[in-house]
Amino acid sequence: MKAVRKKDLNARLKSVVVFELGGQAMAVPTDILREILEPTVLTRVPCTDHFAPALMNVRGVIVPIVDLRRTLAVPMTPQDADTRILVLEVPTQDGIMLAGLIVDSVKAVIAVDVSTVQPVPDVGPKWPPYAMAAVSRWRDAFLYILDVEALLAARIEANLEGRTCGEAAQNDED
Amino acid sequence: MIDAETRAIFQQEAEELIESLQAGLLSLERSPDDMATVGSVFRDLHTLKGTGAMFGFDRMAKFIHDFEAAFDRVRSGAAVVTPPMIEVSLRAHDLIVSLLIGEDPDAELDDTLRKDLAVATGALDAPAHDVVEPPVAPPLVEDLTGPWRLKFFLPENFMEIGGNPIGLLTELRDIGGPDTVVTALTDRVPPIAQLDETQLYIGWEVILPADVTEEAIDDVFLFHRDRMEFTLTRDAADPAPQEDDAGDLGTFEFLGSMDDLIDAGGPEAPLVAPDSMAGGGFEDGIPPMPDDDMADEDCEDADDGFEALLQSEPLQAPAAPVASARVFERPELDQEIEIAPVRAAPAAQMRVSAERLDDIMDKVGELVIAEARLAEISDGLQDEGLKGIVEDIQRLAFGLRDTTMAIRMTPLGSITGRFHRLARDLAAKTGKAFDFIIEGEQTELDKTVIEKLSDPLVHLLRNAVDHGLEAPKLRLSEGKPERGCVRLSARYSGADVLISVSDDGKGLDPDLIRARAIQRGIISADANLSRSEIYALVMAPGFSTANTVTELSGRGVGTDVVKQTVESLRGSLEIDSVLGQGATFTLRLPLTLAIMEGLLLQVGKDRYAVPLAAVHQILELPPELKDLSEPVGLTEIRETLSPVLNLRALFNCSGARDEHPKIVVVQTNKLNVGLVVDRIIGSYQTVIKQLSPLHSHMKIFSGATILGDGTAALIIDVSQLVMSQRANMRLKERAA
Repeated sequence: MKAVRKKDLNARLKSVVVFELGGQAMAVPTDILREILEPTVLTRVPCTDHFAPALMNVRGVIVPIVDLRRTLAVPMTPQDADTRILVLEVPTQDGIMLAGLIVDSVKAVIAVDVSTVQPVPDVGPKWPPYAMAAVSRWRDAFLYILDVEALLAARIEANLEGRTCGEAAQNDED
Repeated sequence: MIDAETRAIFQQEAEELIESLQAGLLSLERSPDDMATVGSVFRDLHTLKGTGAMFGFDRMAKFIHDFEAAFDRVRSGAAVVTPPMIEVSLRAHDLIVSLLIGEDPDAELDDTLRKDLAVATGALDAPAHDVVEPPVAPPLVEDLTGPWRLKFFLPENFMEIGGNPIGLLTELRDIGGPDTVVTALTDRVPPIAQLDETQLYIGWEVILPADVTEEAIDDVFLFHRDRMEFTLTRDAADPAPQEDDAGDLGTFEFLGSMDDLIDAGGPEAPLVAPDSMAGGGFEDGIPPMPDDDMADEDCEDADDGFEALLQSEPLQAPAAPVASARVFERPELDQEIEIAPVRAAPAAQMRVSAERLDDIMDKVGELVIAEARLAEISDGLQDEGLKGIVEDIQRLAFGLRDTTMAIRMTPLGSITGRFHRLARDLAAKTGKAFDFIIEGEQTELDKTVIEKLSDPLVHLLRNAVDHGLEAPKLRLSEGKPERGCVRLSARYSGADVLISVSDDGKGLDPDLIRARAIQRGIISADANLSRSEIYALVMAPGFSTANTVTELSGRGVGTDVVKQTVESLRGSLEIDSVLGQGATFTLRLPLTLAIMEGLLLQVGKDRYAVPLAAVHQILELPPELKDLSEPVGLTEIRETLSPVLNLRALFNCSGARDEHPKIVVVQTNKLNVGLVVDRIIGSYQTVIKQLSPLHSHMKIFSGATILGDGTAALIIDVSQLVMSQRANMRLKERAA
C-alpha cells in the first residue's frame, strides 16, 4: 500500500497545498483536498486527546477535526484569523474518510520542484516515522509533505486496539 | 458495465434467494410431496444460477447448474424427495452460501456434492444432463469437419439485466483466432418508431475455424443458454458450405425458452418444431424473446402468463412432436404452471440500495429539524398566513418521515429461515429433540437492525439448546416432557420491539453464577446482589457457565458479545429465569436507528443530547450538590440513594454555571442515574449521525446530531457513560 503511494508520489507532488503548522511549512497533495474552511463552529469532543479534539458539521456530514501539532511535536499556536480547516478526503481501509486538518495558515498551492524531493531521514525526527511522505524545499526552507493517510490509519488502528477515552493515546509507537 | 450498486442488488437478491432456497428445502423435509415447494426450490436455483453467472460467480453457477438438474428430476417425477436428499441439498446450499460470500472451499467438495446429489436423486450416471437441458450435442455426422457456423440471438433484455454481448463476441474471437468472422443479423431490428433503445434486437452469425472444440463454444454461452436462441452447425470440410444443408445434417438447437413455454403454457403452448428451423430461416422459426420474458415474469400469475402466450400469434406454429412428448411426461400440469421460473421482480416493486434510503432518511431528518426552527421563528412573528404554511410543512415533514421509516421496515420473518436450519442442526448435533417455535415473524424492524440481529439471535438459540435444554433422559427423570421447547418470539412494546429467546430447560442457577463470578474476579465475594443483577453477570465479558467447551457454543464468546451488539443498536438485553423451568433472554430494540427523540442539554458552553426514552425525570439540583466539583456524587432520587454524574466535571466543560442547574434522571439497567447539567434546552427529533472512525471508539457517545443552527452536538450513550464510570471506580478501588 505504502510502496504504491511512494511510487506515484512524484505525480501527486505536481499540485500540493502549502500551509504552516507550528511555524513549519508543510503540504498535502491537492488530490485529497476537498475544501478549505474557516474554523467557525467546532464541537469539542470531551474525554479524547490532542489528536482529534473536536468535530464539525460540513454540510450534513460529521467531520472529525485533526490537530497534528502534538503528534508532530511542533508548537501550539492559538487560533486566530488565519487559522483554517483543510477538509481532506483521506483514503482508508474502509473507504474515503473526511477529516478536517487544523492548520495555522494556508500559504499557496504549488508544484513541488521534484529535483528537491528527498526521503525523510529515519533517525532524528521527533515525529512518528510514517508521518512524512517526503521532504522538499520551498522558498529556501524545508517543506514537509505529510502522509495524512498513514497518520490517520495508525490512529484508527490504535483506537481499534481498545484505547478508551481518558487514556492519553500517544500516536508515536513503532 | 456492472457497477457497485448493481452488484449490491445482486448480493441482496442472492441472499434472499438462498434464504428462500433453504426455507424450501426445510419445508420439503416436512412435506416431501409438496410439488409447489419443489417448484419454488427449482426456481430459486434457476435464478441464482443465472444471476450468479452474470456477476462472475462461475464456479457457483456451474455447481448450481447440476444442483438444479438434480432437482429437475424431482420436479419431473423421476425422483422423490427423501431425507438423505434433503440432507445433501442442505449441504449443497451451504456450499453456495460459502461461494457467494467469497470463500474458496476445496474444489473437490463440488464434485462430492454433485455425486451425492446425483445418487440421492437416482441419476448417478447422468447427474447433470437430462431431458430438460440437452447441452450435449448429438453425435456429429463424421464428415462434418469444416468450420463452425454459429447463429445466436440473446434475450432482448440482455443488456438491461447487465449482460454484455460484446464480451461474448470477444470471447468467441479469442477462441476462434484471426479466422473468426462475425456478421450481425439485423433483420429483427424494428422500425425506429417502435425501437426501444434499451433492448437488444441484433443477433450474430459467427464462423469459427474447424479446430475450435465444441466445448469451447459451449462454454462461452454456458450461462445464457437457457434464455437465448442458439444454433450451432458445422459445415462440411468442403470450402463451399450450404447453409440449408448444414441445418439438416448437423443442427442442434438450444431453446431453453422452450422449457419455460412448456411450463407456463401446458400442452397447448405454442411451440416451434425444430424441423421448421432447419428447413426455413432461423429467424422466423424461433419464438421471439419477449414472450419468453413474459413467461418468466408473469408466472406468479399463471393465468396472465398463459394468456400472454396464447395471444402471441406468431408463435402458433404446429406443436412439435418432441416437445409434446415431453409435456405429457409431466404428471401434474397444473402445478407446472405455478412453478414456471420467476426472473424479474413484479413491476410494482423496485429494489433500492440501503444507502439511498439512508440518504433520504438523513435529508428527511434535517427537514424535520429545519421545520422545527421555522416553527420557532413563526411563533415569534405572530403572522397567521405564515403559521398556516408552517403547519402544512410540519404535517408534510412528519408524513414524509413516517413514510421513509416505513420503507426501511423489514419483518423479522426475513431472517428466520436460517434459525429453522440452525434448530435442525442443533437437534442433530446435541441429540436433544425439541420443538422450535417462532412467534411474531411479521414484527417489523429497521432493516439495519434486522441485519445485525441475526448473529446475536443465533448465539442465544445455540445457548438455549446447548446450555439450556437438558439431555432427554434427564428431562424425563425430572418429569418434563422428553422433547424440549425453544421459542423465538417478537412483539411490539411502545416504540420498542421485544425479541425473546426462551427455553424450558434447566434455567439459570443464581448460586452457580455468583460463585463463578467471584471465581473470575468479576464481583467481590461479599457483594450483595439482587437476582436480576446476578443474571446480568452472565453478560459480563469472559463469563461462561458451561463446564465444558462445546463445538456449538464455543467458549467465552458469550452473552457479552450479544449484549454489545444489542447495545450498539441502542437496545438492551434482559434475562429472566426460573431455576429448573427455563430461561428467557429478551432483546429490547428501538424500531429505528436513524431518528431518535432526543433531549438537548446545555453544560457550560457545550450542548449534548440524550435519548428521551432513557430520561425518567428532571429535578432541580438539590442544594447539597450545588458545589459538586467531583465527577460523581450521590443523592436521593425516588427515595433511593442514587449516583449523580457531574457532566461539567466529567467532560471538563468550561463556561458559566447556570443559577438553577438540573438533574436529568436517566434509567439504565434498572438503575437510576442523575446527570447534572446547567440547562434543559428542549426535546426534539434528532437525526443520528455516525461518528468518524477517529471518534467511533468512544463508546460513551453513540453519535452526533446536527442542531438547527448548523452546529453538531454529541449524543450521550447513557448506559455506556455509567459503565465507564463504574470501570473508573473499580480502577480507583484497586489503586487504593
